[in-house]
Amino acid sequence: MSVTRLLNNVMRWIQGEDASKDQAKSRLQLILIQDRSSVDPGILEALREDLMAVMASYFDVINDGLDVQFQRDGNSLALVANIPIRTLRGRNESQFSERRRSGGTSFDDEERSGPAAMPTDDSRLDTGGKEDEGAAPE
Amino acid sequence: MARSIVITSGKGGVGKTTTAANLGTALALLGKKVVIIDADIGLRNLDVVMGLESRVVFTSMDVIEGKCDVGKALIRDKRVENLCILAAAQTRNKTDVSPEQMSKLVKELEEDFDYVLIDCPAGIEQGFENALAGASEAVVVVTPEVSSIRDADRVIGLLQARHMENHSYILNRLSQRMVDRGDMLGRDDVQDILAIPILGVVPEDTEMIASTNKGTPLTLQGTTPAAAAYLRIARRIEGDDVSIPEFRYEGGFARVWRVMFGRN
Repeated sequence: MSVTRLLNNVMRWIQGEDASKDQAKSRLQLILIQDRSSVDPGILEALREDLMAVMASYFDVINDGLDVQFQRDGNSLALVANIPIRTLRGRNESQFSERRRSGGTSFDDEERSGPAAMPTDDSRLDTGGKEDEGAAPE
Repeated sequence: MARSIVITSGKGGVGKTTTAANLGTALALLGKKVVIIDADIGLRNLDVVMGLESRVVFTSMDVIEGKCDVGKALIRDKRVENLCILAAAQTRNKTDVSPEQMSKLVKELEEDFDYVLIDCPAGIEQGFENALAGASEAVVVVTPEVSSIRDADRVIGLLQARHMENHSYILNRLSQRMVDRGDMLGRDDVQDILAIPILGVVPEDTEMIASTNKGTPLTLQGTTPAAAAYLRIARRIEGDDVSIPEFRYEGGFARVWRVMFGRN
């Protein structure tokens, strides 16, 4: 019996494949982290929309390009978001101060004194408006 | 003080009914007064697995609806002392019973028995809620497969949410040969994942199917690996300190030896 086991291991090593039970275990661990934290796909989708709205107020992001998923790294779980950015540009300063006044993320004025401020176009403002919708569902 | 234990799993086909039948038999063999309730209304099977299908006259539904008293609906297993089953209605729905009614039935049975085992239906809907209602302990049956473990984990979450603190699991149908080959999750793997106390391991045993064919719980027949495992589990439930052995693959010769000489 141990000979067959050895042969099996050699075959696996040649094929560069994990034992199916190891694959089962790592898949299960990932599935269960999602199950246990009751993160269903709907919540991930809502998170995606929220993230999109937030990112859109800082960068010109590609709307459909955002990919959010869980990845397992050893024993811990990581939420990995891949956000393609069309152009690297900030928003103009007046909008940041507006956010600050409305209780949003606060920014140090000195940090904003750089050359990053750029005027925004209409489509960007639209995504900015989506931010409110995104925060609403619960 | 009677103990009421629900046998559950989430996923179907992992051996809940077989476990309920064999565990009930094993506890009765230890001299305990046992009743097994089939809570799978509409899809009853406990009676068939135990070979008592021809003796079903009244069901738990008749008791709940007051058509007969509980003593009349109990089917006594004549092969072993102190073992009864209570069949489920076959032509009714799970929604015809409420958790309160089920709870009342279990309380009533607790007065006359040492153990009330409740064979839970698959799923986590109304039937599951009903089966859980009267129980104070739970045993989750799980096979070493991805789908079964996932469902078991979900069920464990639901048990914890209902503050049923006393729960453990039985790893059913473990094939040590496949584990050794790297093609089945082993006992340690499952323990890592589920992280609740393990009550026992039942090895894959081809004779289980034959015993179900005959309608005789394997535990009644004695010495096969699964029967021995159920007897050990029963003793553990009773509080005995019985360790879980390492299962080895039983090769052709060992099997012939066991069958001929009745050794484990």
